[in-house]
Amino acid sequence: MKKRIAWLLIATGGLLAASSAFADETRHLNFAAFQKVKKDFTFDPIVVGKFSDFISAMDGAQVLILSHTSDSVDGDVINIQQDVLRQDGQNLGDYGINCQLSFKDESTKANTSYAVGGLCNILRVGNGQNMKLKAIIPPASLPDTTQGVEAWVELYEDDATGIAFYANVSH
Amino acid sequence: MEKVHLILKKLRDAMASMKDLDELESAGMPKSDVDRMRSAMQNKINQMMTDAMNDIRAL
Repeated sequence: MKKRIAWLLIATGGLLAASSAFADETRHLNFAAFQKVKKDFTFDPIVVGKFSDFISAMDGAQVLILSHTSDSVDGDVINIQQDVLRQDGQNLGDYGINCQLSFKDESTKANTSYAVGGLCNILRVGNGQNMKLKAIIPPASLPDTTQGVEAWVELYEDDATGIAFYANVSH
Repeated sequence: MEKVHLILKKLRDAMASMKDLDELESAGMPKSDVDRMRSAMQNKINQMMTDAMNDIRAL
């Protein structure tokens, strides 16, 4: 009986370890958009550090959107949308961000590698405003925080509107 | 009626973004990835059209 219980415990432990190893392969896509509020502020191509360092580095910009997509896998099409539809007389004003991103897992047995690319529309239309930004984001490699370096990489920057997108992959 | 107005606006925007996806291929995204994004957007549009039809019928 004792042997059976011991065997059951070993088998359960093995299953838990296997499930834990599988869970280690999951990655989360983090995505952020900022807009400059200080004229002399410049966006860095790479911001190294934890999330708090990243936010601190953006002291001359305002957050437009922050997004965390859990358990992203190869081939995911990720929609990130934040829309404010506001009545403007007879018309409907539209303020917000609409991104459609493609997440790719290009990892090999030796190394992990992830990429993201896609399309973002940023609108501020109505109540006297008419700002439309269409950002085509070419596929870009993302830093994977499990490789020991915590960093955010800039995917796109628009000089005219002062808007920039950043992303990374976390565990 | 306002809800229908909203859905139609979103539907129009979604349809316009289908054309924008073509630009991704010229920006270096593999065709298979662009096709997958297009297919995802098409599914979204279909769902919005179904919602719009249901709301119009309910008027």
